[in-house]
Amino acid sequence: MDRRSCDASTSRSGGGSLNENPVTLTQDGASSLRQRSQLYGWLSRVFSHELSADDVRDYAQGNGRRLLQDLSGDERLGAGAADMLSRFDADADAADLSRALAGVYGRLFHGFGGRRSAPPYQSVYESEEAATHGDAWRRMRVVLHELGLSVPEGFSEPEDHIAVQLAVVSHLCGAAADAADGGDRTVLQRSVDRLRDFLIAHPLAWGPAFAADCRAHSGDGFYAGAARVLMALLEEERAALGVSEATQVAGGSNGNN
Amino acid sequence: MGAFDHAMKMAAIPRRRFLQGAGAAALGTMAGPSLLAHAATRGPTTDVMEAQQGSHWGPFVGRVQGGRFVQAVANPEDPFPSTMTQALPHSVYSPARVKYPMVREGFLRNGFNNDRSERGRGNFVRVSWDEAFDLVASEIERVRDEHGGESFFTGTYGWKSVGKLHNARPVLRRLYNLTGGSINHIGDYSTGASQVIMPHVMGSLEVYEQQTVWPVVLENSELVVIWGADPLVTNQIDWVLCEHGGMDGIRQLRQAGIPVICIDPVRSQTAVYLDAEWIAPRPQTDLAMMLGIAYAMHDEGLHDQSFLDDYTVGFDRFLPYLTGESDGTPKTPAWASEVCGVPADTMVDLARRFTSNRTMFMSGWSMQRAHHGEQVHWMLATLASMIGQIGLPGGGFGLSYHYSNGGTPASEAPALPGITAVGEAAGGAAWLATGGLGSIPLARIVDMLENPGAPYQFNGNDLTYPDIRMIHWAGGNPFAHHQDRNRMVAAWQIPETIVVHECYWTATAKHADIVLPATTSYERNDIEQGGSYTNRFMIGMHKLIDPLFEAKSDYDIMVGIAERLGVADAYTEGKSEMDWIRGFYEAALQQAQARNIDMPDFDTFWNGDSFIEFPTSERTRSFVRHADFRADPLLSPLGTPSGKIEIYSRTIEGFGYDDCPPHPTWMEPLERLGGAGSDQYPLHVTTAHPDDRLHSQLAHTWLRDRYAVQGREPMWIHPEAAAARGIADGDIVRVYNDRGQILAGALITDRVLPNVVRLCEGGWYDPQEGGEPGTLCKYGDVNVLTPDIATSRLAQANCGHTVLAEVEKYEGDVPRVTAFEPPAGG
Repeated sequence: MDRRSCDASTSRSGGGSLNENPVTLTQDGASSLRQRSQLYGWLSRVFSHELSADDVRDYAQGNGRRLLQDLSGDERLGAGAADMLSRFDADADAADLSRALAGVYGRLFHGFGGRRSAPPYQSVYESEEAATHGDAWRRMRVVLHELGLSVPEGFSEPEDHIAVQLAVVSHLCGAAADAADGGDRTVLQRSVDRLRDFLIAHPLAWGPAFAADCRAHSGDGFYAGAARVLMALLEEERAALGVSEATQVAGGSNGNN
Repeated sequence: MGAFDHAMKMAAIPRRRFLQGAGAAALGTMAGPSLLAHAATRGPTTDVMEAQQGSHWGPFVGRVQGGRFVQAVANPEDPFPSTMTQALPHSVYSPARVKYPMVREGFLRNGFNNDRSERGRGNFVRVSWDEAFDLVASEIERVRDEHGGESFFTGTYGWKSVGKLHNARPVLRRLYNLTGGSINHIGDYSTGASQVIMPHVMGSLEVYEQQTVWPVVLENSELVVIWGADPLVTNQIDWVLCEHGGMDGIRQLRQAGIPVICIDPVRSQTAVYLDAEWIAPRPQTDLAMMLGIAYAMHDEGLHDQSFLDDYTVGFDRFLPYLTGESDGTPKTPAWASEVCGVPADTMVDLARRFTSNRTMFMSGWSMQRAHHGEQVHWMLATLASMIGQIGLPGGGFGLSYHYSNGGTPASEAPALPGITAVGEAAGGAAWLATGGLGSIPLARIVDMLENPGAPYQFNGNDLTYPDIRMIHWAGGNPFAHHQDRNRMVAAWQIPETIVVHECYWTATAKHADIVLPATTSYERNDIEQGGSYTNRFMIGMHKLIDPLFEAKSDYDIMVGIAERLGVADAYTEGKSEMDWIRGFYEAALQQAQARNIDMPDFDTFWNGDSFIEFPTSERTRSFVRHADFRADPLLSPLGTPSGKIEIYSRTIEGFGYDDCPPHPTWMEPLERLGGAGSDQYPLHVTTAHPDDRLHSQLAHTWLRDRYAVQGREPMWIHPEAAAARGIADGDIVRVYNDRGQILAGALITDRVLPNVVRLCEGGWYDPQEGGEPGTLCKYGDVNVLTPDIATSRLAQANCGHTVLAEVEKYEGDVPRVTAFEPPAGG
C-alpha cells in the first residue's frame, strides 16, 4: 500500500474567538445542533458496522427510506442521500442485499479492496507506512478520556476509526445543544469551542480524503452515497470554520490516482 | 439574525435544519444510540513503559509509548543485534494484519461442498468469534465422524513465534490429540535430506548439533572453508531467542586473519565481509567437486589412511567408485571440472591445502536442498574422514555454524519446558517430533493431497498416504516454503476444509476457508530460552500491548474450539496463561536448584527485569565435536550400526533405493547447468535465505524498502547475462520455466556466476489470477519456479535449489503488487 499523507495544518481565520464573540442562546439554534448531532450519529452507525438484514429492511421500506427520501431534497446532502437510496429495492431479499453490502463494506473498510479501499483510520492516512494505531489513535483516546466516553468492548476498532470520530462529533453537538438549552453561556462557549477544535484536529484533517477514497472505490450506491453525505457535511464545517481548502487532502490520497 | 445565530456563526458552527417532519423523526430513529458509552476511562499516558520481550532475532526491550509499541531495543550485550528487530513495531501495526475472524464467502454459504477452486480468489466475510469457533468445531466433528482422525493434517510447520506457551505447533496438535488424533509431519524444509542421511553416516543429526566452539576454531584452525553457507545472513535468527555468538565468531575470524575459502556460486555477504577467497562451482555440483578433490587427495597419497582404518567403515567399498574401477569413470579433477566448472588445478590445490592445514569445513544446507541432496553431506563427511581431522580441535566438519549461531559456547542452564501436544514434557528435538496417527515427510504434502492411498517409501519404510479432508495450520506459511507453487495451488483445492491461524494476510491465509486472527508475541505473555545450542538466556516475554482488533493467541483460539468439543478442561488443565508460564519456570528452577545453578524465584524473575543470562563453563568453552569418539571409538562409539563413520552403509544398501546408493555417489539431478534442461533454460536460480527477512517473515514491513526493486523481489544477475538479454539494472524482469513465471526486479552484480541468478526464498506469492495455476506471480515467489520432487526415497526432502529458468525484460503492462494487502476478493 502506498504511503498516505495528510496535511493537517489548519487556518482558523474565520473561526473567531469565543471570548470576543460571546455566545447567546436561542431555542432554534439548539434544535439545529441536536439534528446535526443525530445526523453525525447516523453516519457513525453507517460506517461502524455492516448492515444487518433488519437494517436493509429499514432502508428499503422503513425509517431509513423516509430519512433518505427527505434528505434527498437537501441542497447539499441530497445527492449523496439519493445515491444511498438507489441501492434499495423494496422487493429485494434483505438477507442477500445485506451479504452483498457486507462484501462492499469488507472491500472498503476491512482492506479487501487492496488499494481500492478506504481504511477508516486517521492514523493510516497520516502514516508513511499505512500503519494503524498512530498518534491520531493516541490523541483520540485522550479526547474520549476527557469526555468520559469509551468505545464499547464489542467494537474492536482503534479509537481513530471514522465511526468513533463521527460519534464524538455527534456527542459534542448534543452537548452544545444541551448547553444551549441550559442557558449557561460559558458552558455553551466551551462546548462549541471543543466541537470546533475536534473537527479541525480529526474529521476535517482526513475525513475528506477518506470520503473521496470511499466514494471512488465503493462501486456501490450505498457507501458512495454515504461518503458524499459525509463530504458535504465536512465541507459545510470547513467553510464555516474557514479552514483553507488547500489544507485538505484531495481525493485519491489512497494511492489510486 | 438572532443573538444565538450570530454567536454560532462566529463560533464557526454551521446551523441549519436539514429535515422536518417525518424525515426528522426517522433520523432520530436511524441515528440510534451512540456508538460510544459513558464510562470513566483511563486516559492514555505519554509515559514510556518498557518490558522484556523476545523474538527469533533476539531478546529485546519493548518500548511502549501512549499504549503503542514504538521501539524494540536490542539487548545491549548483543554483539551483532539484527537490524530486522527495528521493524517489529511496524509488523504489529501493518496493514497486512488479519483483524477479524474471516470465512470465505463460498464456504460460509455452502460449507465444505462449495466451489473449492475459489480458494485464493474468493471473497472473505467477517464473522464473530462465536461463529468461527462453532464453524471450526463442527467441521472437526464432521470430518472425524465421516472420515476418522487420519483425515486431518495438522502437521503445521513454519517458524512460529518464539515462546514456550504460545507455541503454535503443540498448541494446535494438543487439541487434535485430545479429540482422536491427526496426521502430522516429519522433517523440515531446511535440512530434509541431511537429517535423514547423517544418522546413517555419523550416528547423529549433525545439522542441529553443537559445533566445535568458536574459541577452539580461532585457536586451532589454519584454514576455514565455508561451503555453501552465508552465516552473517542466516545467523541473524535462531529457532528460539537469537544470541548472535556465531556472528561474533565470524568477526573474530576476520580479526584473527585465518585464511577463509568460500565455496559458493554466489559471493556471499560473509565472503565479502571476510574478503575471503571465492571459488564458485556451478550450483548442485558440489558433490562432483568434492569427488575431484578426494580423487586428487588419494592420487597424491595425501589422505589419512590410519584415520580411515580406525574411525570409518566402507572406504574400501567407496574407493573403486572414486577411482572409476567400479563404473569406468574415474572421478578425476578433470572429470569434476567438466561438471562443476571449477578448474582441475584448483581442486588439486585444495586437496593439498586441506591436508596440509588444520582445516574446518563449515557447510550450509543449500547443497542438500537439491535432487539427490542426501549425497553431498555424506561426501563431505567422507572428504573430512580422508583428511583425518574429525574430532581434533579446529578440524573436521560442521553442518550448523550458520544456523542458530552454532559454535557459540553453551551455558549450563537448566532446560525450560513448554506446552506439549500431549500434555507431557517434551522429549527430543522439535524437528524430529512425530506423533498423532502418522507423520508425513513434510516436503511430500502436496504429493499426499494428490494421491490418497498411494504407497510411498521413506527411510526404509513402506508407507501409505492418508486421505486428507481437513487441514489446520498455525504459525507457518506453506505458500512460501513449499516448492512448485502452481502444483500446490491445484492440490490445495482438494481438501474439504482449510483453517489457518495468522497474524497477516499471507498467501496461506488467502488460500484458506477459515482465517482466524492471531496475536503477535507482543500482545501476550510468554517465556523463552535461547540460543538453540547454548541456552544462555531465559527471559520473560511481557505483553506490551493489548491484542489489536479481534486477534487472539493461538492458545486462546484452541481453547475456544476445545470448549465446543468438550475438552477445554483437559486442554487447559485448569491453568491460566500466567499459571503455565510460572509452571515452566518453576520446573526449570527445580533443576537449577538440584544443580546449584543460581536462579531467582518466579515472582522476582517476572516482576524484575525478567532476564537471566547463564554463564558458560570451561567444559563448554573448549568443546570439540566428536572429540570423545576420536579419543576412544570403542568407549564412545558413534550411533551408527558399526559405531564408526559409515562411508558405506549396509543399512542403506538394504533399502535398495536406486536414487540413494550405499556410498556417496554423483547422480545427475533433474536439471542443472551443463546437464538436463540447460539448453532450454540456461540460467540456474539459487534460492538462498534472504538477507532482510526470516524466510517470508517481515516482508510486509518497511524492511522491504531495503531490497525491493520496483517493488518486486530483487533478482541478482551477472552483467554478461543481463547484457545478453538487454536487461538494465532496475528493470522488471519475467523469470520463467515450464513450472511457472514470476516478475522480479533486476539487480546487476558480478557477485554471481554468469549463468546463475539469485532469487531469495520467502517472497510472498502474489498471483495475478488468484487460485489459477500457471498465473503470473507479480511479486517474485521463487517457489513458483522450483520443482516439487523428492531428493530420493530415503529422505523424501525438498529440492528447492534444483531449478533452471530463463529471464527476459518484462515489456507488458506492469501489474500492481498486492501480496502485502488483504485479499482483494471478487
